[in-house]
Amino acid sequence: MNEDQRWIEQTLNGQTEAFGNLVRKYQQRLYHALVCSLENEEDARDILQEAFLQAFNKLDTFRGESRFYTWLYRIAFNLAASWRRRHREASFSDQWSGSEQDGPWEEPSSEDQTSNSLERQEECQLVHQALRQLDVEHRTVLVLREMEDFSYQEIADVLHLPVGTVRSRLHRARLAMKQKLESLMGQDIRES
Amino acid sequence: MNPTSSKSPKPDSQWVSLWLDGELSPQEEQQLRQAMAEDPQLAQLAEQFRQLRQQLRQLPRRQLGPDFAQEVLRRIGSAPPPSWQSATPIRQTDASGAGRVWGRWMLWGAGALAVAAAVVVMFWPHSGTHSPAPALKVARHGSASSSAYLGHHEELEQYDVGLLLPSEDLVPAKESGERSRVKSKADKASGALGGAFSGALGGAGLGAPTPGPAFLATLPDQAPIKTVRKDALVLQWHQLPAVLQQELLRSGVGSAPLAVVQVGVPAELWQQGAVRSQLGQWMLDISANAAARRRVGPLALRSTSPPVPPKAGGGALQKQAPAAPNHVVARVRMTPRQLTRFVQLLSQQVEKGLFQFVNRGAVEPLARQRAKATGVAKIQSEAPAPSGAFSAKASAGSQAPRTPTPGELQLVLVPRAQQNLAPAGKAGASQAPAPGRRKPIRSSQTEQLQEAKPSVPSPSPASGQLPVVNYWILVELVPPEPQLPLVAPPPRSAAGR
Repeated sequence: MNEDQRWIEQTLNGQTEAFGNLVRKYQQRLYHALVCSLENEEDARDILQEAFLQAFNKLDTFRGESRFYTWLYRIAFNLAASWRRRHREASFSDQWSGSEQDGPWEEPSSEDQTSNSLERQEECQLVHQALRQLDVEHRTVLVLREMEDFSYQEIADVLHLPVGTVRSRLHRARLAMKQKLESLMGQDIRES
Repeated sequence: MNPTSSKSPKPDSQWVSLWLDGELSPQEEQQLRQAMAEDPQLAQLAEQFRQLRQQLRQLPRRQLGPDFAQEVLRRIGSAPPPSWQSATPIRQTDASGAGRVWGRWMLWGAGALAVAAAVVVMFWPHSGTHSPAPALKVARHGSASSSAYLGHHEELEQYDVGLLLPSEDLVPAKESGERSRVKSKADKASGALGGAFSGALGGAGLGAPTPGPAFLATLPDQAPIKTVRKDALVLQWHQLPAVLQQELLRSGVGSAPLAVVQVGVPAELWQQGAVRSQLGQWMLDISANAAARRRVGPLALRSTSPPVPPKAGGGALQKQAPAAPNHVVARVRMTPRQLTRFVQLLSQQVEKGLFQFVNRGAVEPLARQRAKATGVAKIQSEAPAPSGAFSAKASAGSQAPRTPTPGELQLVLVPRAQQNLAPAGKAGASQAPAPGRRKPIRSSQTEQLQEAKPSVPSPSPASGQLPVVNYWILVELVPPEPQLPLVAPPPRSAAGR
């Protein structure tokens, strides 16, 4: 029995603190994925919290057939999808204020602080900008594969898609991301 | 997992994706390698995909606060128990009559506590005097937090918001005659940036010549400043119309960094009302949205101007058509990021031809004492309080400044005659674009705009016609939520698998 399973059982036996261990273990990773997918840290945080609450409430339905994280991610993804539906008709104010902290992305503090960091920071900004310009479908599948290291099958489980669709969508997403990046970098060069 | 029929039978670009993901069989991988050896574009694509993966995995991660898990557990504790928990024997034994009553009182008690806590939180910021925005602490306490402050300005730079220099503080007096001189664009932008930063860093730059690019290189521990936009327009204090100077001095230029966004609205459009309503609505949207998202606190909009004596029987929003104002001043609180987004969206409207960007800039805080000692006294003595064509619900007979309620927007429309009353408004409304100029003005044209200033005649009050209504949006910059520490991306060992 892995530690996830042990904590789940402890939680189901009334030790709510054990669920805190699951939260602490996965909160950061899932948060990063949600931020990349939603482009809004505050909404990502709210959805993350809601996802953990739902996971707690439905914990007895988790059968261990997939990783706990995959199951948790599916809950979060569904919440994020609902959030997007609600915000599809975004007002002017939603548009402008939705990205308070979405960039520029800063360098990890452990990185070197030499001139390379400037270029890397700029590169990170461009990557993030390109990611933001992708369709939600492409962005999500890229986040799951490239940043979350999900397998095709896991992506298919989370997104409720056939594996073949995941495969082709992922490829299109990569091509689109590549084009966006090239476009942004070309623009950046022209401006400088 | 073997590729299925959705994959093409011959190696193509999709095979590259599959190969990168380890989804090809050894035979297929061999085929692809051969294909890449023959087709450099395919090989290049593989390299680009690999690079893309690396870039995505190296995106930095923001860290949640350390109390996030506790928050979740608190919410779990305060929520109704899930079905699987309520079915446990423990809950059932607690379901006696006394237990239910006690539990109900516990719920009421918890609810009351929550309400009390909410009230404290809501009113705390309004008790006593208005405390300066935390950003000011940066200025006062030197470089301890300077990186965050500089980061804000860097964001502004990236979004093409120029800096407005309070030149009396940042430019030595001997250069005062040259303040309005248009320098080379690069010197102008980088010098302004350095000057603003020097003011931020504990006032080290006050009274000193505006530092140039060399200063930027010596700033300690700041967020990297790589790009200084060449097309940022730098305004000097004396170039502002008097009404704006007055507003700045009156309403807190010494308490928080201010950005100034000036939008020129063609007068005929303004008089039709639609644009006016739209701008007002946007301001209200900003307020509501900011408050709802708890980012900038409940007081998102503030009045800027002394109240206008109401007309007899006057109340809300009296309009004296058809006189259009020269200047409209709205004030709003935003974080730098919100400001940049706001400017972006305004730019879209500019591109549609609805508005013209007349100017954009940010003003560095002046010392409050200095403002009191010089600017305010001077302006108040020489400039009578404006009386506008519009007034927002001023109570009858009251001459005292009216405190706006949170979330309330007050627009102060200043009649044309006001521009000639103030002493420091040498430029007056001269920043208005040429009459009838409808072509959208983009940021790269700012210098041209500035050069065009002298040719713009101030419309005479009698003419009744104005080419442009200057909509000044004074943005009080407030810091965003505290930046959480960043952590490096975890190793790709798929922790938690």
